[in-house]
Amino acid sequence: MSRITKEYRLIRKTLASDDPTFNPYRGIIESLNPIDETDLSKWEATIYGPEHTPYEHYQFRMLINVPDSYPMAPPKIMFEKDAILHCNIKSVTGEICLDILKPQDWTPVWDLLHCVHAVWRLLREPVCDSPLDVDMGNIIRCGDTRAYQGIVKYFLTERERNNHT
Amino acid sequence: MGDELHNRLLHQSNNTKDEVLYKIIESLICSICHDYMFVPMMTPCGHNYCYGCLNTWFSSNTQKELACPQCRSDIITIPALNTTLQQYLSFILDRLGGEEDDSFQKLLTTKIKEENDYKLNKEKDTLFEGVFKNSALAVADDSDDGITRCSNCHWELDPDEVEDGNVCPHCNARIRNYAGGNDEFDEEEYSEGELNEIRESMRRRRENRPASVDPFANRDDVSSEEDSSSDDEPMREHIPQGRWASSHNRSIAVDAVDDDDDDEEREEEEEEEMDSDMKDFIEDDEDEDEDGSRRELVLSALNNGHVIITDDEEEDAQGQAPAEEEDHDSDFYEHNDEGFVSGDSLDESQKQPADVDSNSDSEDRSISYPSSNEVDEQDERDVEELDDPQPKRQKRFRVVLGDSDDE
Repeated sequence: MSRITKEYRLIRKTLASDDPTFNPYRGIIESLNPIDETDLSKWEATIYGPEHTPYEHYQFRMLINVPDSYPMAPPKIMFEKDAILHCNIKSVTGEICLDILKPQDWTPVWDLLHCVHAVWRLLREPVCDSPLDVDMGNIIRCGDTRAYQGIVKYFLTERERNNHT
Repeated sequence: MGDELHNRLLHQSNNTKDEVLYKIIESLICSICHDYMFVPMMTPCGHNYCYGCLNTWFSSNTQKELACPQCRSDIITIPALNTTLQQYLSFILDRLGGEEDDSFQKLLTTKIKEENDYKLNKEKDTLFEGVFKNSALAVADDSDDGITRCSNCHWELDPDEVEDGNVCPHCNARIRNYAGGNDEFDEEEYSEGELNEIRESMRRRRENRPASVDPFANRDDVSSEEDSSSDDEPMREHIPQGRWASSHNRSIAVDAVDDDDDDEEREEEEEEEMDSDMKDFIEDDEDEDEDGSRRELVLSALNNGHVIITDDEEEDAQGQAPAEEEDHDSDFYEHNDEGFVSGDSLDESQKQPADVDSNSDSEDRSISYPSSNEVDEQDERDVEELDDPQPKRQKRFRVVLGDSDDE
């Protein structure tokens, strides 16, 4: 049985649990499952926006591509297009800049839950030194967190409005 | 005393016993394939993986050093068969083997196959596809000015050349430990004055940081070291603790420098002092790296990940003297005075040359950051800390500065 199959079983069991010691991802990962049960190379995940960030109360969906060489190679994780604004995410494509997802920093000890969790934490702590969205990165660099949060909030409100119309 | 735990366990509830057993079985699972380790190999850092998994891991990233997937430390010596774990698993299989069904049979087949693979490789002396035989180590010899060399052919390993591939440029041997230095936070890129500024700036940044962007607080996180650091000593924990902490640290440091345009200028001036011959060449970091006449090697692996700063006194002195002779405007000294002072003071082997300097140091700093209330307090603490041999900073850098006749 391949590792991803085993992971799938574990993920289902973990996320279904209400026990916080068994499921540390409560309130973090809403769902993580293959798009098509017969193809474990394409996954989708939904995370909750972390508390006390402008992302709070919103959900974010990402698409995960698990390469054949997984777990020797990292999974590719992207947000949906135009669904999030963050200095380490290219909003137009949904591309995420996170070191542990880069081949040189990846280790096979991580699994999909770790990765999704790490992306969630990236939302909580933007790293403005290696920004994909340079403009957003510069705002943080200048120390203007209020502006940063304001822009993100505006973006997300707009997103919701567009979704409903 | 040797049977204390045995006896205790016997008197525990079934729940506890189950818990213990469960934990033991779990420790027999490879964190790479999430399956039982029929041939558990233990790395020098004490982590266990299947022989097959570890082998695949080594060969899947031939561009890199051999690193432990769990803790990322360099795997310098060949992992050994962990017979204890292997016996546990065999024992458990033995005892649970009563009801033979398909899935259990499958386990047994896998076990036999993996054990045979291992045995065969061992007999043919091709364990891990010979990667530990055909690869070299990056070794720094202190009696040779600490220059990092390939253990196979003794060719000097320039981090720039080794960078892509972690391969010796001369004999093409794969280097088992991390030989490239450029990924590190290059302390020698900055004068100590700048390092202090970086620390200061990071401290301020941290204080200003709103609660919403708290550093990650969770386990297994790359930046968790940062979290555990106390606010008093913002930089200490940011001095890279090996290669893997470095990208994070470096980025912070670079950012801090970018805060202030003066810093770049200052950095260049510092470079001039380091090696006045160089001043015509240096335009920016890249150029300096390319011309290669100034070598910096940062080698951590051999010392179990401990990196040692050896700040060569002679070189310091040489570096300073010409700079002082040079004709600089008053502005230059205002900027660099601070750099000199703290540079010396950080170096434990070198005693503070003059009290005057330390005064000007604190003056300078309070001028630079008049807005920060904690500055004075911090200053005092800084001076104290700097005079200290810095007991906390165990992982430090070895800085090797070569001369231009290297190439």
